[in-house]
Amino acid sequence: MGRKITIEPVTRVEGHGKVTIQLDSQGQVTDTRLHIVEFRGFERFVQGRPYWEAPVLVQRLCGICPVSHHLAAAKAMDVIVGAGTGDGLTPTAEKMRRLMHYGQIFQSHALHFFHLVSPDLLFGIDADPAIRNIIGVAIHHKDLAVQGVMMRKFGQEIIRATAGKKIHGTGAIPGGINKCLSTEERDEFLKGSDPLNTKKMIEWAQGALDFFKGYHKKNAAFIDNFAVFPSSHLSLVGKDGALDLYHGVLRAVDSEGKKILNDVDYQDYLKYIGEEVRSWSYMKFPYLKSVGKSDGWYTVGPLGRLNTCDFIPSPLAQKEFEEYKAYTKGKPNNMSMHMHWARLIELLHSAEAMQKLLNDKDLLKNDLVVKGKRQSEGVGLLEAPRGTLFHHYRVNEQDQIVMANLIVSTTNNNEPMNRAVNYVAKEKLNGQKQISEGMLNAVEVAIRCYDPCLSCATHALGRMPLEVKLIDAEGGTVDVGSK
Amino acid sequence: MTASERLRVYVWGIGNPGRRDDGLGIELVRRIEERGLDFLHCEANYQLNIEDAYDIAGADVVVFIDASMEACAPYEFTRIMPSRNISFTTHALDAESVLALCEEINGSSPAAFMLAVRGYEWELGEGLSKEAADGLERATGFLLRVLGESSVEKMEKAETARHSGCRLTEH
Repeated sequence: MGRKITIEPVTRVEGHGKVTIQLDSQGQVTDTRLHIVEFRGFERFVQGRPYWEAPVLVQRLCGICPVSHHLAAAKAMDVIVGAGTGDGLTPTAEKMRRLMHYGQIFQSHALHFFHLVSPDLLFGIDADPAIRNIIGVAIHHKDLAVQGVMMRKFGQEIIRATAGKKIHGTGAIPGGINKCLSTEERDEFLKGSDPLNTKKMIEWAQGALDFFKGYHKKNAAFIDNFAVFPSSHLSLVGKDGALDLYHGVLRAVDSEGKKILNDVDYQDYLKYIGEEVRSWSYMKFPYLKSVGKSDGWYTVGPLGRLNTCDFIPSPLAQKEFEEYKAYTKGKPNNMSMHMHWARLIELLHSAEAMQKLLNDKDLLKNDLVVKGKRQSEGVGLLEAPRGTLFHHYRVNEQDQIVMANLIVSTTNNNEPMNRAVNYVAKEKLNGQKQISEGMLNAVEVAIRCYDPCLSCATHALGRMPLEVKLIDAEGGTVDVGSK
Repeated sequence: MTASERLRVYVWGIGNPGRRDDGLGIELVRRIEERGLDFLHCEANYQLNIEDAYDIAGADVVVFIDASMEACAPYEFTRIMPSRNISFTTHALDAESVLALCEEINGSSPAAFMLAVRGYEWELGEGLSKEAADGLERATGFLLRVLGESSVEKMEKAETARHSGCRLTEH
């Protein structure tokens, strides 16, 4: 008799999600699906609200990356107030926003690596889940746990100083920002007592990268062969081809590195990006229109970004980028576990970028806002920690939002995450008589590479975020993995 | 009671005010903070995370406040202990795990309580449901009384007990 496995909740991802694995009577995987509950209702929620409320309102969408939504909405509203399409702000406003954004990227990448990924690397994906977690890391590798905690805290403090507060920040407003940095705040980040200063953050980011590379050296077969499949890649890049997480043009390359979206203005994203609906998932499947629905899917996030950009504009991260690119001889990297390597290079870049920005006197100036001719439509894009984030709004003459369309990073990664699940399920589960916890965790390890954020769900006590269901050839549920 | 005899109490609200009753913890902390009590340190965030293990280390007592789908109405107040048994994890941690992480990285953790306020509506939107708003009023009054206690032992005596039919007993 065939079986179907459902993993629900998928651990160490956010919100609600479910994996179903269909097995035939010989125990061969015939189909897999990653279902993620996407809350599209938010787009209706903002309709009718004044446009200037959007940068604060959208933070309610996500408890994990509220700053990304805050800034993407603010960028869209910059267009609405006639402040240009991303490069028309005052130097102080743009640099304060960049500092906020790099603080967000830094804390998010640190959290993902130390809290969610390091347990798999330190203890093995088959290890007892009772120890394969952040508490286990703290018990057996205290220095790493402390670094993770303090790096996350540093990023959060950057966010507090630039956004005004940790929850529902108000720093970015249409056309600029509502505060600059004080000298005291700047000095604290640059020269504060160890470890909460940029120098130590750069040192620790480099240390995390060295840790991963050391692990990779000893475990190349696992890291290089786990969930590998050809993919196109999409991200913002700077107009000069630099890795730029805050602003730029849209670029996509295919699995061989050929440009299939050539540095286009994201205000026109609808010309290039379509969203396919599939009956079995609430979450849409974005694709490049020029390639088509079946093959136009792409990967976003750290792997996507390092596959599309030409260089990284910070010295230490650039050196790491060169080593990373050399590993695939300059070709796009399609190894899912290398997403962690790419993420740690971005962690280092973010630390360097924060240090550079904090040494810029523009952050201390008071020229905060610009406005121009009012527009009725605007698109804001940036590279959130998990990938490209699209915010698109239309506003009526009464200043009310009449249309909103959001494509979040996890939605952009919908197809590659499904492919990663399918790859690993076939490799680990095909023909197995007994399904172990380690096998199911391997499926989750594949999903975790993408660091999906499903936090459309509430986080109240009692709410569980995920579920793997095993279903037989006749459609009956044989096993449900619930954690 | 002199200032030096006061317990250093941290009040930690968790939740998303954009998800109706999920914002109970944040609103309760806002109300407590308005009182300007100098022995209190108030924090609020969407969820608990690893850096909170560092931040709570300076407290004698920490009271976490969260909305709950399961608590007896209008609220439950219970002592919680560090737990190393993470059955699953997301980007966020539960309070017991934060305490355990605090213990591992700092050598000890503060005494801790969970004030779980019953919520009813969780969809995207602003404002609390009527039932949750009523519960918030009672939970605020209760917490202000508890925060005035001079020892952990006295705070423990304020723990609520769950009885058949989920009726709440206040001490």
